[in-house]
Amino acid sequence: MNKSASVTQDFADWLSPMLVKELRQGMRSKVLTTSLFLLQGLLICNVIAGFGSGGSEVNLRVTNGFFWSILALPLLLILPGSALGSLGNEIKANTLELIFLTRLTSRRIVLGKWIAVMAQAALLAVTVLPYVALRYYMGGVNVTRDLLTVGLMLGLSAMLTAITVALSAFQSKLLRVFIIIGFILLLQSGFYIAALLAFDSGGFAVGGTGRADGLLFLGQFAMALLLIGLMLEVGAARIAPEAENHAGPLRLLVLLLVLVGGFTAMRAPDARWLLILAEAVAGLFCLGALSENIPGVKSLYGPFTRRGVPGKAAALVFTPGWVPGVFFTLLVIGLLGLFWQGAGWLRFGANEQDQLRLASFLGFSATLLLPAALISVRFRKRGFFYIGFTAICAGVFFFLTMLTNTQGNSHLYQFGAFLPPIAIFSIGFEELDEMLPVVLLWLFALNVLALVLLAWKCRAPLRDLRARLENRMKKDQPQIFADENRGYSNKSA
Amino acid sequence: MSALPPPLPTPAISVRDLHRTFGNVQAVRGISFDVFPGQVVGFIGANGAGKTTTMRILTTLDSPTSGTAEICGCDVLNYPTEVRQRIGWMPDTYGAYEYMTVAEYLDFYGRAFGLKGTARWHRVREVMDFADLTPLAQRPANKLSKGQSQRLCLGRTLLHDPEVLILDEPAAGLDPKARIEFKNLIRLLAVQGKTIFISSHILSELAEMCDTMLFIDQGQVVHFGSAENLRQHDSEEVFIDVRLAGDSAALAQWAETHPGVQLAGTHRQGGRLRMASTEPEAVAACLRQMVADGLPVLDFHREERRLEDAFVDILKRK
Repeated sequence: MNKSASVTQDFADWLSPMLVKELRQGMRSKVLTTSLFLLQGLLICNVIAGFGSGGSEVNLRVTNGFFWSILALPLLLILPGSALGSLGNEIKANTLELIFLTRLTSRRIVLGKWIAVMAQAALLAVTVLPYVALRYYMGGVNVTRDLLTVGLMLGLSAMLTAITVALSAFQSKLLRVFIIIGFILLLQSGFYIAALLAFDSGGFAVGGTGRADGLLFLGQFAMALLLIGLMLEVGAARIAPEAENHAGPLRLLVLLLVLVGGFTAMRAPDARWLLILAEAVAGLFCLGALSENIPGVKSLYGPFTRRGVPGKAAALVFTPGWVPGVFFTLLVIGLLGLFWQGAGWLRFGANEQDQLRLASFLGFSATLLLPAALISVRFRKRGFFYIGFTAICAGVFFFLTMLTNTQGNSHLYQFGAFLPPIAIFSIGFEELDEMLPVVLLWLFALNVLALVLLAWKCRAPLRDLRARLENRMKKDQPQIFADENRGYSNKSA
Repeated sequence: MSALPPPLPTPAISVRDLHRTFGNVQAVRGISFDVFPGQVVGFIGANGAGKTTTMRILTTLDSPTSGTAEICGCDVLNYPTEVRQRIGWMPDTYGAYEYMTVAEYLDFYGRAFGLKGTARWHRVREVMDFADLTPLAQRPANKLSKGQSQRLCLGRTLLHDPEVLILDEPAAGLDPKARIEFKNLIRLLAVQGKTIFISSHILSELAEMCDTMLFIDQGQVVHFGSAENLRQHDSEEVFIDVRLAGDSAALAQWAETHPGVQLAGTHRQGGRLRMASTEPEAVAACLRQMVADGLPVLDFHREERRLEDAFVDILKRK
């Protein structure tokens, strides 16, 4: 074999081009080299300090804590943080568009970026292993547990990096902040409801059978993988051209997340927090789906049209746009309802606790559906409507909290109960228990109203969607179809 | 029986009633044109005329509000992957990567275009030779001069051997030497039979490179044809440079006595005449009349109309 052939038939030919590029750049970047040298220096100091501590338990605990802090810094902060600019910098430098014109898809671009950061994290983790072995000789160290902790940190780093890669696709820093706040609020309200439920049912009691522990581990592992996939798909969806359908894979992943969280919660009582997490994530994605404008690209519907009736039914949920988003949201709410019932949280009884749970569930669904029903069909920036709605809810909530704290009267919350998110919070106050049936009825009415309005608003867009699926379009929408006399036609498509 | 004319080939670029609106701004307002394989078309317009928007739609990087655009018969909106395989896009500005040499930059794009092993290695070398990048192979890609960067960007554009090249202001910001080098590269590509759609502000340069000119103003096509056609037929007046053996004042006197001819300016040996008619016969008759009237004509030639003037005239008429 000549020299040129041996040079070109390299290992990198087996890897994704994006990964090769990112590794070439990443391995030479200051972030990695600085982190690597800093980590090695600090670890050497840590080991010397550990050996010099004379076996004192307090000193060992300090060096132990210091060791994990040193490792956590690059793995959980610096490297995931460095990915915050990964897609944004490409967009800013006008290089992402050039990559799009190659054979690389948005998904491969995002995956390449994520794997490259993870490869750097793995490299850092591997360099730590000798110190893990050295620490064993200091005493009081379980090497297996240490290795598991390193692995866990890598897993956490993978999730954080996936989140930062996804956020890096959002050019607006304000939007990034809103997404993070939105997720925290949803998670917080989810855990708030969970706390209410656990107080009554003992659902979060520590313990369980060995089988449940195994299931809990599997559930957590699957959820982590799905969350990583979901985040990477978010990044890919943000940078992808309009002609690519990323709404379908995103919604499918969310449904899988709800299914995994739900089944695990039903089988392992300790894992009910997974259902809450799945609910918070699903809620955020439902808001995203309900905020999507309907794209005018014919090729998006081709894969669904080709699969006959099942394909057309799937298109009602998995094609981009707010109308399929409504169906997707209803499906998510339905699934969550089933799992809530399966986990023993949702019962249609006259008992106060049953009503409390039902009200919190209805509050969740109304929070998603009501803004979608109130929003004008012609409102182009649908996402802003949701941000505005959330801002109003937050404003009213903080105002009422301030009043409650100054007046010492939690009845004041009832004035905000007309907004579903505040209704959820208000039902937790014991003084408001007598109001519970009223709040329940109000939330039920809001859900019915939202569904009726949505059914009415979806009529025309649904007709259009059906026409697209059946390859029929009005003549005043030339952007949808190519000229039938040139190259290809509706029949052949 | 007369034979039917041969069918026209599928246009390399076909645009029909293309519109693009950004909020309240109509960037492109119903433009239509065809570019056939092998043509080199200059795309001309003032800043904000809609050139870059049109080009971005053609390269699948933007979507039209309405209308269609096709590359080699593939609709840009519905078949973006097929379109991307056929085009090479060179934007007006682009960023090179940090921590990457020129050779690595091209190698990455070679991989991204699906070139494997030895084939990629050969293609990268070919492109580096063509764009005169071989001496710069180990230089950091983000530390090149403007001219070198443009050559690198052109090299990247050519890696997958596209049928259609869409170049947005490729010569902007280049020094005269780099501009000549770049122009020569475009000429070579035209000789290779590539369809080239190129935008620029420097009309004289485009005239040397392009066989067809597409003028756009406020999102609408105002002229589509050859540069020669534009110079000769799209004008309402002709300028003639006259040199006399004697005093130039005689020319001014002669022009005053002949309707349809005006003195546009004088120089030491004669002057410039403006004729209202663009017909070649009228120009010839003017010369005959001068000689008949005893003017000592040493030199008489019709001035080549500048494209900039032609463009301004078109805009004035519009």
